[in-house]
Amino acid sequence: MTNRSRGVARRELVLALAALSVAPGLLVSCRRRPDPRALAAALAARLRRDEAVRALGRAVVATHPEESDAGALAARLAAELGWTPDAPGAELDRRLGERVRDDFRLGRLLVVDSWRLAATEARVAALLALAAG
Amino acid sequence: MRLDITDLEPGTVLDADLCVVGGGPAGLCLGRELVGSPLRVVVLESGGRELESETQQLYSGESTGTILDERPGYLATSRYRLLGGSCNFWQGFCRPQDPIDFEARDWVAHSGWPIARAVLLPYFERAAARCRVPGFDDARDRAALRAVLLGGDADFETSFVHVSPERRFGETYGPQLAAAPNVRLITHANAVRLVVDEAGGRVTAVDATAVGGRRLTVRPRGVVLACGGVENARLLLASGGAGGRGLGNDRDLVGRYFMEHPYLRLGFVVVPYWHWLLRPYDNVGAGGSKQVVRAVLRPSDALQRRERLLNSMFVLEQADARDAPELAAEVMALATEALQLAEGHPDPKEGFDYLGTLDMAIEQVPDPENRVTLTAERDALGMPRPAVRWSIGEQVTASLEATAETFARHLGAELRGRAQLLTARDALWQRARPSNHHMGTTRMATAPDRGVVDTDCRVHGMDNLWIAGSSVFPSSGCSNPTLTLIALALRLADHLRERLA
Repeated sequence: MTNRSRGVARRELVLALAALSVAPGLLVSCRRRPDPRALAAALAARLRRDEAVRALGRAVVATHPEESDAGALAARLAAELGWTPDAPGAELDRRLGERVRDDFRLGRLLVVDSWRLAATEARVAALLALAAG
Repeated sequence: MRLDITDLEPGTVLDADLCVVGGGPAGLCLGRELVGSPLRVVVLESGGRELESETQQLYSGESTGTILDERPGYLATSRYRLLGGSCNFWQGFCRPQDPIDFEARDWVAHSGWPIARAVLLPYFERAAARCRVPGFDDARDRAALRAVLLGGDADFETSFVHVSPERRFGETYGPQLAAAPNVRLITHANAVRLVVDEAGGRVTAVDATAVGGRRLTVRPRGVVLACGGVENARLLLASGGAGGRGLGNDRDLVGRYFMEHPYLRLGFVVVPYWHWLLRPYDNVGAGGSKQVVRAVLRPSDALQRRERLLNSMFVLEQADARDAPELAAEVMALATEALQLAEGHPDPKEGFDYLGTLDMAIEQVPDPENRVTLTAERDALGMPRPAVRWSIGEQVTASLEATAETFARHLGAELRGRAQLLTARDALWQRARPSNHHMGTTRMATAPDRGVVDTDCRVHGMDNLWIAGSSVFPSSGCSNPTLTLIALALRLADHLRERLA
């Protein structure tokens, strides 16, 4: 290994550690799966139209059976949104809003009854529906 | 002077400088331009002032293809044979062809006009005056709109269709032609044959017949066919010419490249506001006159180039609540939540409260296999009936799907709504209808092996035969063709005024 490549490797390691230090939520989500009911409750608390969203969530689950595991959905959403139980609600709002826009920009869509939905919003709806039983 | 063919003695022969066949928007606007000129003009119109069953039946023919298989009466019901032509039933939509429509695009076979759009710009303005709509300036109209659905989006742009209050061209221009000393407007005169000289390069006479049998011959110095995208080709093909192939048809191009604008319900959208976008609205024009304007959305030229798409336009209208699809209310709620989250809950009342229908008109790829031909069956005047074949190819379907999916993604990414796209292939074109825009059958091209008319709209190989109307369009674009065909007719009038002087 040359001095130059050793320097690059060291710099990458430092950057990676720094990135982890500013993303504690990600570390948490890697360590253990979040409680789906806690994430669902946190999401529901941010929404004003949660009944309608749950109804849509039931359609998401019916159309996409692969999205019917509440635990897997919660883990995925928590990781993608950097969510932790103690995360401020406003931060969850911001990340959710950004993620939905990015889904559309990048074509990460779920089709439900021909409606083109952002994958994240569809999964949020599905999680709320599943958490409500 | 206005005459009916029955006013004339049987076998009357009229001499004229110019014979215009067809009293629709192209023929009437062209004739109107020549009022007061030194030219002696005869305009032959098949119908009278009102629709008549026997005359209308002359339009019947066969129709086949993707959409037309389900519409056996297409040829008899998609055009109207009376003074003023099909404009009598026109919705009045005026919009010029887009710049990209004139370009030869390497992803659209046979695309490109042999004249630049700039050549037509002054004629678009003159055509706008004929249609009593203001000139076309999307920037001006966007400013007047106050809100646009995808305002800062480089990929989709809001454009405008001006709705013409001038739809009865026969009632407006018929009397003007009738009052002109140099024009004879003759109704119930169906042109059935163009007679050519021995060499076959010059029309010497136009034979016309009334449904009742009265005959008329016009011996003109020049002839303009202005009888529509199907009839222009039909009359050329039925007029024999060298080898019986039809006039101007040495290369078997007459009738080919038929194009239409399929129009279909793509689905629905939920959007945050509709008043300024989804409904035609009144715009105060020059002199305080009210002008009905309709906003549409179209993929930008840049997006079309990048994704190799065909031109198209979306039309959004407020949906009837009774037609609301499944989950519309729930999608409205979900999308509103996403909007509120993204914008930090600025206004709890702001949301996606409006449901709209999402319709699309899309350009057709010019295809020589889509064509007008003649059948063995003859109409009441002895003319071979036409047959039209129009199939929508894979490229159109793929372009429609790609444009619609891109639009749906942009709506979401720009926080402007959600779309439901009913684009399943098995049912896609079953929901489509033709727009009754007949284009391309005598397409314009510089060289005779590429098209039927030259850049002056003169039939290749013919000294004194010109064509007016959308049959000369080499590419269809997505705009209603009426404004552009009037612009071309006005340009042709300028040309003929000099050429026949």
